Amino acid sequence: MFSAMSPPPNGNFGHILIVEDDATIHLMLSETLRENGFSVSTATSGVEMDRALRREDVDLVVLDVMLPGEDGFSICSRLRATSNLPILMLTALGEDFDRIVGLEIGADDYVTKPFNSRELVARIRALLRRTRAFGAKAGRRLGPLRFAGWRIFPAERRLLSPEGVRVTTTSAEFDVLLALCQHSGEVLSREQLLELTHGGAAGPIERSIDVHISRIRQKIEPDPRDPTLIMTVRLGGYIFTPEVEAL
Amino acid sequence: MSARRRFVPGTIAGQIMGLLIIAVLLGVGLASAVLLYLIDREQTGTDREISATVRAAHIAAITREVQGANSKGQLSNLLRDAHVDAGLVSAEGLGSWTPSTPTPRFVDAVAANLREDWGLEPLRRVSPPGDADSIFLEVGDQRALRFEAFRHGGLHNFLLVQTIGALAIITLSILFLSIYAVRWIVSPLSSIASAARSFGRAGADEDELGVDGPREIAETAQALNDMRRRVRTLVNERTQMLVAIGHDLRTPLTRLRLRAERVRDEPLRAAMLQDIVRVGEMLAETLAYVRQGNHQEQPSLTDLPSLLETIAAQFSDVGEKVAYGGPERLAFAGRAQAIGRAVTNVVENGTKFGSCVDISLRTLDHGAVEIQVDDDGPGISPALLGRVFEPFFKGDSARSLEGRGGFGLGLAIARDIVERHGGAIALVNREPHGLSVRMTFKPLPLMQVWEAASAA
Repeated sequence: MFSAMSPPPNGNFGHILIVEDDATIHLMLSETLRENGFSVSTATSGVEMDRALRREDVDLVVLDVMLPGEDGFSICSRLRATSNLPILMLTALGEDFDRIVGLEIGADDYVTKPFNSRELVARIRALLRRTRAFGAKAGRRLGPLRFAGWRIFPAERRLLSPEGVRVTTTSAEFDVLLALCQHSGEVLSREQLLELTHGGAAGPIERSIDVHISRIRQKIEPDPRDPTLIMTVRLGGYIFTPEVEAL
Repeated sequence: MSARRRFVPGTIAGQIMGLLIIAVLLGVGLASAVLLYLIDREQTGTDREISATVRAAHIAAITREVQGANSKGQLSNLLRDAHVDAGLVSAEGLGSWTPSTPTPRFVDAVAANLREDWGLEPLRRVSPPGDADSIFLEVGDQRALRFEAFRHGGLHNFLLVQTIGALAIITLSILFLSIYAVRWIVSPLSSIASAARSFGRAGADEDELGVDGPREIAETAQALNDMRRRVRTLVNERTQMLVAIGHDLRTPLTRLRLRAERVRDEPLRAAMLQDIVRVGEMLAETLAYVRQGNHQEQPSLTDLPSLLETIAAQFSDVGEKVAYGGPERLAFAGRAQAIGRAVTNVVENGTKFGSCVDISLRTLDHGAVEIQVDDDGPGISPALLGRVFEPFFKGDSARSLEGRGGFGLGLAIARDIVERHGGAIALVNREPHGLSVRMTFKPLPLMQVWEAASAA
């Protein structure tokens, strides 16, 4: 199941199409991505993107929100209507609005400008991994799930308790919980969990999976000292016990 | 001045009411005086004689009819028709008419007229004395009819009673009218005042003022509406400009960041990246500040401990010592993102000045909560306590932060968010040193159930 995470035989991690009108950002982003083992093509507008998509086999689109002519949101929803291609949006500074709209109209992830290229690469990798691991349909555009009365909304990144109260998590905690939900009843090793999530790429201090798990337990377990939802498997990792169903 | 102030009502309503009451009392008083004067004059000279003649004729007519009455029923009918003008009394203690001395009065003229023109013998009460204005006429059976010389018991009395009654009624109606005046004239004034006072404050009612009411007040309200609209337009333009700048800066800033990442010199690269991050944060801070209240987040039921734990985790993940202590579960109806931002800003401030920050949570009465953020920094001088919430306030130079300071908007944003939750934010210095920030939040009404919206 996790075989897709080892590098492909030809050494190429995937083909990325960058849709961004600023030439410098283009250039440097392409370089960075190539250095990290991706092949890259670029487009500066929706029209160019359509042309590139017809010509090339693209694995993932990096899409800027602010484009001349048709804007990123419109391109995103148009693209989403016809394909399951993973989309990572570059959103504006401090605009929760952009992020929420972006995720609602079908983007899979977002990075806020000005971004750190290490973070962008990590996000692209994680997104590709998720797509390959879970298949185009199952892995992305994940609908709301329910476990033990709790509801988890992947697109809105929202978690509701059985009482309908919103419970806040860090994004790493959310990713870990979501990965657990998608593999309920399976034993996941710490390495697998790290692979399935961003792996703490955002912060300078990488927290171990154990820290995230303990924080999640604090938030969702009826008794965090005696966990029943996320159980520790000796020498194995963790297993998520509740039944998970789509809402 | 203060002595005069004491008797002059402070409010417009009071003054209007006072003026109306004084005006009416004066008017009624003057009118009564003039009437009484005219009536007195009427009782002199020819007028007086005519009145006496008319009165005598009336008395004589009633007396004749009473004398001619056959039955008791007829008698009482007669007396009733006479409109209490006449009364049947015992004839005891009545004596023959002697004119009043020294000055003859109206009653004497009526008595003389009765005797001369109608051949009736007027009597007056002699024992006990008194009742000088009454004329009695014998009607047989030791009974007499009693008449007031003045019709209806005397115009003076009549006027006095009526005047007091009228005054009472008028005063009462003025009181009610004044209450109306308060509503009609004064309440638009109060709403104008409160609109002016709350303009631009967090959570203020932004509705247009009603322009009904008296014309001057309607004009004032209209002028204030216009002014608010202009100020709002001005502010919105500035906001748009700042937002546009923020937007446009992000592209060059992204370029700069990508370039800086390629710098080979390690210390130079680190320094450049740090500055770029700083600029990005300052832009984000400014945008967050100018956008306050623009996209208003819907209140939802949110678990505050998980929110505070998440904030503590985000800070500890970047190496700060931030911890949460308090209840494990607490649902609160509020704007979760906004509360998170307020607490984050305060914690951020704490980590700048102290090495260790504690977040705690307490419930208050009526569903309100208090979030307290304690740091172990130097605290703040009492002189600056009131100023730290001003936008762009940076503190004194002794607390300068070597480039770690933002624009000084963090606490202003926090206060704004707290006030939008009907709460208050207070700073208290801790012993031996450190600062404690206490924020209270009141629950907000839930507009819609979020799950319903997302399930659809």
